[in-house]
Amino acid sequence: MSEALLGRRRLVLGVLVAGAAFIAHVPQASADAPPKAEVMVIHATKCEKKSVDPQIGDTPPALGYDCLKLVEKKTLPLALNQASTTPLPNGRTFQLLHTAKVGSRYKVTASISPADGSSGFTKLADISADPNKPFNVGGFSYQGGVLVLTVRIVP
Amino acid sequence: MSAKSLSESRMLKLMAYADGELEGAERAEVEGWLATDTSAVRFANEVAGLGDLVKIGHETSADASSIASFDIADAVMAAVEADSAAPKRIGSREAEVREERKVVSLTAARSQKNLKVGGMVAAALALAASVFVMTRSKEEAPVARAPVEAPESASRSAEPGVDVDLVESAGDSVRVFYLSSESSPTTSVVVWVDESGGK
Repeated sequence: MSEALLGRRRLVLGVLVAGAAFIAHVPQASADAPPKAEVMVIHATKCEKKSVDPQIGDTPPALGYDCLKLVEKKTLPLALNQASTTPLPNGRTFQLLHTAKVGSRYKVTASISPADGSSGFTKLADISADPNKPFNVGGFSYQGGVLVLTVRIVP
Repeated sequence: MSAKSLSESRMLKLMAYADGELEGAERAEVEGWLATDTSAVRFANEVAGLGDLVKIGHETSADASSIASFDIADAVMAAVEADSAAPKRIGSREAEVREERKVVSLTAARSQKNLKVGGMVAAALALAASVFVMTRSKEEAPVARAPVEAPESASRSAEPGVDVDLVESAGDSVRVFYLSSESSPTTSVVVWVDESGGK
């Protein structure tokens, strides 16, 4: 085998190995990326003049609470079977547990910590949601009104 | 032996074998691998197509060096000299052809070279993909967490894309509402916890 041909083959082999490493890296990263939940924490109060914080976007139904103010936005990672929690302004903790993925839908269990501050969580509902479809969990008492959480699962 | 254990030297010899360049002891050695090692067989089959391109690239290396050393000034001067030395008959086909050859040949040669390089790159990427598949160890497959299969929800569908099943232990204070939203034509799902008198 001539030196020139050998050198060319080494180059080709190097390209192949580098290409294989690149191909191996890209899909692996996307396959491992867990979905996340984008959570808007909204303070809903009863008021005379209706008011909705423009940062909220699509207005969630608030069952008679006409004034809605965005308190904060949070992102929770949703690794499979690993609870993800976030503290709420009223001192309680909201938890989402990603339990399964059926087709394109994500199954999560929403829970809330007790109002008396004791440990543990109370399961509220099992929710099955398509990606980017919002659902709301609310009614937690806070400063004369309630907290409403608008959750959207993003792949 | 797994494909992953194919060494660089072994891959190089397999490439040379695929190009039909090995003889004697080396050829026998590679044929021994091919008789006993399925990974070697697969790799040899994959590189067989690419080997032709490697050879083409090698054989055209003389062209490549001539292209690299091509001096356009010399070519133009040579063309002028050839033109003046040629018979002064107007419409001399021979002179026209000679001029065309000298001026156009650089572009043509480079285009041809680019096509060959492009073909080699495309073939290399395709082969790289197959090398990745070959060298990916079996242990890697379960690493990607398989979604846990769950039964389809029997609850009613409110908004296309969201279903809710209340957890019994949550008690009567938790309800699900399916409400139309003012700012959206679709129905919104609300899991509502009645905490009248709570914190």
